[in-house]
Formats: sequence, C-alpha cells, structure tokens
Amino acid sequence: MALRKSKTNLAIDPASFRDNFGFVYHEAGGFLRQVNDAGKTAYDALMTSGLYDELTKQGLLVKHTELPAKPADGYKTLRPELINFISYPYEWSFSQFKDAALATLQMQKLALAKTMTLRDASAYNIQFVSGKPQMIDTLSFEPYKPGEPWQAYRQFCQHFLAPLALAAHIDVDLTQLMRVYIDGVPLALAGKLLPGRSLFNPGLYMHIKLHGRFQDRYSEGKPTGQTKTVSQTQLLGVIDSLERTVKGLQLPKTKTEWGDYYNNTNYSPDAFAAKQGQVKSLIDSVKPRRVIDLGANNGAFSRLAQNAELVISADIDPMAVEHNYRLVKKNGETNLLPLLIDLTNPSPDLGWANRERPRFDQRAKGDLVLALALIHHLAIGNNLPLEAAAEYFAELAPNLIIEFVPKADSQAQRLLAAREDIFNNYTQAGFETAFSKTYKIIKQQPVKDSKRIIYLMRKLGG
Amino acid sequence: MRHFAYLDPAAGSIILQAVIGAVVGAGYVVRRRVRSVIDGFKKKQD
Repeated sequence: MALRKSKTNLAIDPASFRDNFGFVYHEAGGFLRQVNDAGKTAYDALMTSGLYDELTKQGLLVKHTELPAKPADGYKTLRPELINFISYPYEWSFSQFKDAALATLQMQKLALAKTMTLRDASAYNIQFVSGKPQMIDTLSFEPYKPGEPWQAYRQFCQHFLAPLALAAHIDVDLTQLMRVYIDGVPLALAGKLLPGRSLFNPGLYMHIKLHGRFQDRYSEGKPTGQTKTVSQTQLLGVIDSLERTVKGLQLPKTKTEWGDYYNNTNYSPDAFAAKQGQVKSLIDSVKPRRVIDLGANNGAFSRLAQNAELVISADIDPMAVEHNYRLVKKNGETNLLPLLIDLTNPSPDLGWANRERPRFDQRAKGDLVLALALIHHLAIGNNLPLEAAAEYFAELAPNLIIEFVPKADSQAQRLLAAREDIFNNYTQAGFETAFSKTYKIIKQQPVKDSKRIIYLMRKLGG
Repeated sequence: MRHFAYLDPAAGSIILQAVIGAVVGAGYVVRRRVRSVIDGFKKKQD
C-alpha cells in the first residue's frame, strides 16, 4: 500500500494522521515535520516561551531545525534529528516504561512553569534515544489556559499508569496489554484486574479505580451544562500525585526463566571469556553500524559491538531485558537499546489499517544479526524449521553470527528432557545444510570447553 | 475558559481531576513549603 499523500503530495507517515497541528512525512530517506496553520500559535509559543530550549537542554524533546522555505499549505517545515530506531511500549521493560512515564510528567511540569501544557500523553510519542526517553512529537505542546484541566490526564493513565500498575501488582507480562489496546489499557478493566490490596495505594485508587468509575458514569449521560475548572496548584497536585504513584511502583522480585541466565550456564568462566573473545573478533571483522542481537539476555554479548551506532538487544524474558536496561542506565551506554521481543511471536503490524505501528522486522534492519545460544530454543523448544530461522535472520541483516548448540549440550538436553526427540535434522550437518540455502558460511570456530560451534555467515547474494 | 460537555469518558476524567486536584492540591502546597524550609535550613548550615 502506498503512503497517503498530503494536499501538496507529501508522503505522510502512516502513524501521523490524528493531529491537525501538523504531520510527519517521508523525504529523501529521512523525515520532515510540517506545522500546519492550525499549529502556528502552539508552535510559536513552544519556541518563544523558552520551553523548547529547556526541554532539549534536558534531552527530553527531540531537537529540530526549521527549513527556510515555507510549505505550500502550512506554516513551517521542521527537520527533526533522526531517531535511529522506533520502539513501542509493548517492547519496553518495566523500567523503560516507568522512565518514559516519569519523563512525560517531568515535561508537563516544565511546560506548566512556562505557561504551556502537554496536550497529549501518548506512550508512542516517547522513544529511547542514547539510552534515555525522549519526546518525539514537537507539536504536543500548546499554551496553558488558566483553569483548564490537563486534557492528557486520561491518556497518561491509560498509556502509562494502568500497564505499569498491572505489571507491578499482577505480572510483568501485562505490559503486553498495550499490544491489544492501542490507546492504552481501559481504566475500568485495569480497576477490575488490580488486586484489592493494591487499591490501598491512594494514587492507584484515585487515578485508576475511581477514574474508571467516573469515565463510566459520565460516558452516556446527557450534557449537564456544568463546567469544571482546575487551578494550576490543583493541576500541579495531580501531576505530583501521578509522579509519586508511578515512582512507587516496583517490580516484585520474581525469578524468570532467563533472568539469571549468565549465573546459571554450563560454561566455565574461562570458556565464557573465550567465547566473548571469539564473538568480538567476528563482530570486528564485519564492522557493523547496526547490530540486532536476538536472544540477547542481559546484553553481555551485545556490548561487544561497542563501535556500532546502534545495537538492538532483544530478548523474550522481561527480567533479562529489565536487567539489561538497568545496566544501560548504570553504565551510561548510548548505543544499546534493550527490547522485549518474543521471536516466535514478534510485534506485528498494528493500529489503523495495520499500518500505524509497523512490525518488528520492518523496523529492525541492520548489518549484523547475533544469534547466540538461541537456535536450539527455536528449533527444539518451538519446533521451528532451521530453514525458516535462517530466512527470518536474513530479512534483518546480511551478516549473521550464530552459535550452534548440539543436542549433547546440557542446555539442549534440558529442552529435550520432557519431550520426545523428533528432531532428526537437528545435527551440525543438518544445521549447515539448512542455513547454506540462505547463507554462505564464512568462518566456523568451536567454543572452548563445549561442543558448541560459532559461525560467521553472509547472506547469499548479499 | 473552555466549556466541556460531559458526554464521553474524557468528561469523567476532567471532573475527576477537579475532585482529585482539590484533595491533593493542598497537600502539594504543604509539601513544597516544607521542602523549601528544609532547603533553606540546609543552605544556612552550609
């Protein structure tokens, strides 16, 4: 399907159609943002109030430059700094989600200090840039009118507070509800799901349970003719209450399958160090700009690609991704993006016409895929044909570093312990035959103190 | 001042903000005062 065109034939991004203040469009491999005449007042206020300078200084808002030429049917054209990867809330760890929520509230507080306000609080407006959350929608700010409530309050609660509360109080996997509810988790639903004890938390009770009830109560009534005003102090009180509620949400100490993987492997410390050396040398031989590490766990091997511009460090385990993100924050790493991705069911195309939020493999294009200690989970754990795995990896990048884990390995034995071994082709020869349909094997090296083999492969014709 | 017609879920959100704002707004002011007194005291000690 071709991109929708503006009146002046600009190719509008499929995620940019709701806002009458402007839109994002594709041009020459990059993105530009048009400010419509309707967005003139808000944009000028953002720039002249000092809010833009403050937010960009703190790294909370994407920087842009104004193009000199006025658009044919709008006010201004902006060239935002390029975001190197667009991720979505259902791909974030708990702490990423929480930091995105706190960044949104911080922006609203800074905005109010400059007599501005955030007019939406969509989690999709936040991206992780150089390891930190950043707002990418420059047109989300408008002048604050005294007495006016925060129009984005409901959206904030649905996009951030409800999924975080469900993750903290029921199960960390419940952030995945954002996949189902594209405009955030309905508050009435969140209120029903949250356990009774969680509602002793006044913030959760007010902003979720009571909020859901108020929404129900006023959703079908007749206009009452009433108006409500909220003073700025009251508004700051609401923001402060939201902030304290979000800050108070913590993940329970749960043990997940892979959350502690590297303390529980079948490698000796020497073998682990040797494997890291091997992988680093193979990565360096490819000199990748963008790396996609699949099954990255806490990112121990992702970090070997330190010269890459971007390393997408993806794993199925929410606690492993959480650990990875905490390391990114602790070390101040700017090129590593931990993401929660189930390779057997990666993020699909979602939203309006299934084009608003593109699927993972459409966004994740790189120079090198790392697939270490992964193939046995796909082939034995999920009955995935080896050829299918090779084809999928090849869609992401032309180079592949992959570790073959034979059946004799204790980790593969764990997978086979409770099931019949129907995987006759899962041998080194079978693996090489299957992958040779898509790749040329460039190098292969045994991993020290194990029967595993690491391969460097290049896509045929790539 | 904008006038809001209470016809959709957003209307409930707006009314609730006024209610919550009235409850937590005063607490927010008190906390800010206390914080500024503590900060002032710390500055004096420095």
